[in-house]
Amino acid sequence: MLEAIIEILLKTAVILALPLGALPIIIHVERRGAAFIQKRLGPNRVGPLGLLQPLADVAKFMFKEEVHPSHVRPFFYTAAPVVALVVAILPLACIPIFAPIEIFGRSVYPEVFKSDMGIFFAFAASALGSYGILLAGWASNNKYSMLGAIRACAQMVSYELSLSTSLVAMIFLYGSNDIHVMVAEQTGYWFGFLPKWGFFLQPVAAMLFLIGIFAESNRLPFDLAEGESEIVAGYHIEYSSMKFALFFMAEYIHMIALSALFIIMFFGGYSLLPGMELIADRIPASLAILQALSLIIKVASMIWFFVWVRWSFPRFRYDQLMNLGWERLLPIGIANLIVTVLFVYFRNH
Amino acid sequence: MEFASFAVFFIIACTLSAVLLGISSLLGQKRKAIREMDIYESGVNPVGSATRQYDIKFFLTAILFLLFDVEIVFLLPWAMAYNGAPDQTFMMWGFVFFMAILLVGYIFVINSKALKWEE
Amino acid sequence: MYLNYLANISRYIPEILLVGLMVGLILIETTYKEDDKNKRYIFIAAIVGLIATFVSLVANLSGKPEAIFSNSMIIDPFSTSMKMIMVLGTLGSYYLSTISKDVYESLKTEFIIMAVGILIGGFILASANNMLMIFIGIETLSILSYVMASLKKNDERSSEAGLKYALYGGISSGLMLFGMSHMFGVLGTIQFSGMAATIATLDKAQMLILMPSFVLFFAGIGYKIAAVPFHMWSPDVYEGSPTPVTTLFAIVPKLAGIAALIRVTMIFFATPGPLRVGWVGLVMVIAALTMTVGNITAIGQKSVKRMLAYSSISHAGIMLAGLVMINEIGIRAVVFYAITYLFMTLVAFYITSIVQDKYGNDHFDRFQGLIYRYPFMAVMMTVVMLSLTGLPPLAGFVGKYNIIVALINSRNFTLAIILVLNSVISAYYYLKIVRLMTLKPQESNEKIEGFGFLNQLIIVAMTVPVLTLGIFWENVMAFAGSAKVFIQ
Repeated sequence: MLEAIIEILLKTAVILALPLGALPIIIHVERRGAAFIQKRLGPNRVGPLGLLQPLADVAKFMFKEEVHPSHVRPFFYTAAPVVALVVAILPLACIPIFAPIEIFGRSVYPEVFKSDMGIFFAFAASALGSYGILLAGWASNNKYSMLGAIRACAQMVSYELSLSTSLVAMIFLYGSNDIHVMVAEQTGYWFGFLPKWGFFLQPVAAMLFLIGIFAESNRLPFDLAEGESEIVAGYHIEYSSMKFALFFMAEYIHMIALSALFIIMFFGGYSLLPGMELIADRIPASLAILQALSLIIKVASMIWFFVWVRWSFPRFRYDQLMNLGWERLLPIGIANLIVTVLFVYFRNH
Repeated sequence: MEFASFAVFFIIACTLSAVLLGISSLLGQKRKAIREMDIYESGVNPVGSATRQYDIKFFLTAILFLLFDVEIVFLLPWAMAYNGAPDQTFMMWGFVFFMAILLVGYIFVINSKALKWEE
Repeated sequence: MYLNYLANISRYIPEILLVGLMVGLILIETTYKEDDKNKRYIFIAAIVGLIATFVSLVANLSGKPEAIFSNSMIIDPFSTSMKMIMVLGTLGSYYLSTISKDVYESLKTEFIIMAVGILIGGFILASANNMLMIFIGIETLSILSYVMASLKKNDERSSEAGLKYALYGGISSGLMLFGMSHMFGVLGTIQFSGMAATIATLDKAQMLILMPSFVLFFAGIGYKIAAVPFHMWSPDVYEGSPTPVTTLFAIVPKLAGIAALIRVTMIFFATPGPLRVGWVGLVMVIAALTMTVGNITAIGQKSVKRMLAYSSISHAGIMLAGLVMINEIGIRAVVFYAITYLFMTLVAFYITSIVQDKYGNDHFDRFQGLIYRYPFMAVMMTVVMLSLTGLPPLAGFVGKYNIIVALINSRNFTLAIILVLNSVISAYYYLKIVRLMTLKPQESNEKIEGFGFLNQLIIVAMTVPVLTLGIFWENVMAFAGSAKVFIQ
């Protein structure tokens, strides 16, 4: 009984602390990365190399004046950022950091929420993200907000379809929705050097999923919802200080969760990076740590990729965005699925 | 047991958000200014009420998303059951007919330009 | 397993044809969106498809009854005959939609696409062997009906009709599912096969739970056939929808619901017991109420479509009365009545629709003096009205006579007396039109365009069965008698 409680608290602490602790680092990487891409220096005054800048930002957010506009709907105005943040954190509950291990005679699953649903829980929870945005836009009682929120919601919902078609294709190939099974299928090498990642099995589905997660987390080139110079700040116009910071955090954590899902399905999850098996073979006890390290490295590169794309592409117009989702990506996803099914069937019969 | 850990996770996440909001409202300055209480509309006085009619295409997008998402939800158990199925030919033909009928609906949606956003 | 499904493909060729027809019509419509070729191709495709379905149904009549799709649907002569009547009804209402002005030009193609969908739902309902199939059939029927009821987009009555239908239908589906879930809980299975044996082994407590769930289940189907007290949506919906849609509503959902009800009754309540007494009592009371309420409310109507709606409610009540006997004589009477009801309803709605197109409303006075302007049409309308009342030597009389004889043979005297009294009452509003048409002077001498030569020919062709079935009814009666329900 005691071990169970310790296990629960430890798992929750670690899995919450990792993304939340990485958040200031991500913010800093984004600002410095943006600066370097744009041929300027970023924030480099606060602390060595500007590394204390996020801390200064947090302090600023905390001490800013809490504005209570009189025209907003009172309860939902405060509830929307909370909903957005909680819903962004939820998908992290089912993502494991390493393979199940045995400690003190009990087998420990490293994910907070182990159930039959497996990876479906993450998709279901991330689909709830539209609610936070819609609630924020509606509660603000502002035309710009409402319009931005509805457009963001319509965009997120349209790209969820292509995400789901990729998901069906991958589940069809792996045969299970359990993340540990998926990662186990992706360990090993073809021809001795090519890792058995899902990306090489289904490049089309991987591309679709990649585009989909950019649209799901409202990042450029899909960030019309909060696009400056179009509808000012979209659905978080009326939000200031900490509430805005909560939306900000929610977006980054959603980004982390979706990158983790992408890595699990297409890049091997917590399976070891090429070269790490040498260390794991020598020291068997370090397998879990190495797997966690692999996952963190992969997710970190994915986050860098997000930042890189953001500052390299112009923003899409709304009608281009929606036409892309419904008329190009969805048929490609369905065609990919049909081709995969027929290919697998005719190869086995 | 797993639900217990998920419940703890959820409660901690909610508390975290609430605490962050609470800190801000405790530590922030309090000032009374009248101008910042108005609706923001690029600096001019707000025109018209905030709740107006919106384009019906948003509603159509949501309904069509619902239809295609339910299609995909039906495909998920099928995908999981395919590998161990005793009669894979039956599974494959079922999939083909299902997708064919849904593709006809999709062709109808595209050709009738229900979701074509003009700009 | 799939070889199983392929083995008896000849049994479900009608359904395949209908699904292929619907898919084909959708594809034609999207490729020829703004063309004139559109209307022609769709007309040809629809007529050919529906006639092919009818022919395949006729071919299906001779095979032996069989349960297909892993026991979820039954193809037997009873379901095949009801399906044949439904196909003819759809054909009739489709032709009416091509000549009617109630259905907008741009929406004429959508009418047939949705009508074929409704027909598919009716087919599923008529063959259902499974609680799930009944639900799927009712939902397919209902959801497409909600859309079709509001097909006149610029008319507020049409939108009102669609909204009322949707709200009412949603709640009824919920109630029916609730009843079905309780039935599943007590009986342990959703399959209808072998149900009689399961019911015989129930004890008192289970029967006590089962009776209200049967009532709820009946609520769902009763809503579809507009039985009292689930009929409140019917007059508004029938009046607000475009007339071809009303024609479709008066035939396909009613017959499909009655077919499902007959199958459920024959399978569940074959053996005598307290459940059977309860069910028969329920159906008797509802049949009596339906006939009476339908008739009495039809008396005060000023709009012919609304009057026809109420009269179709009372005819559904008469068919329900044929249900209480739970033997083959009852089923034969109901199937024969359904055949006569089909033709009478089609002709009545055709003439009403054509008159309404000319004048914009369907008030009784629009029919004044029709006999001087279009004598043939007035005669056909008179024949159909007399037949609906149940006067010999027309088909309606033979249908009602059969039901009354069957009722008396099974000693349900009260129901027989109520049926006769209601026929007498219905004479008032049916003969009101006849009186206006024949005895009043005409309002104006204008030509009604809808009564061209082809349309008059079609109306006469549809009235001929009403005339002949009143005298030469043995063959059709034998056909109705061969429509047996297959019980496993």
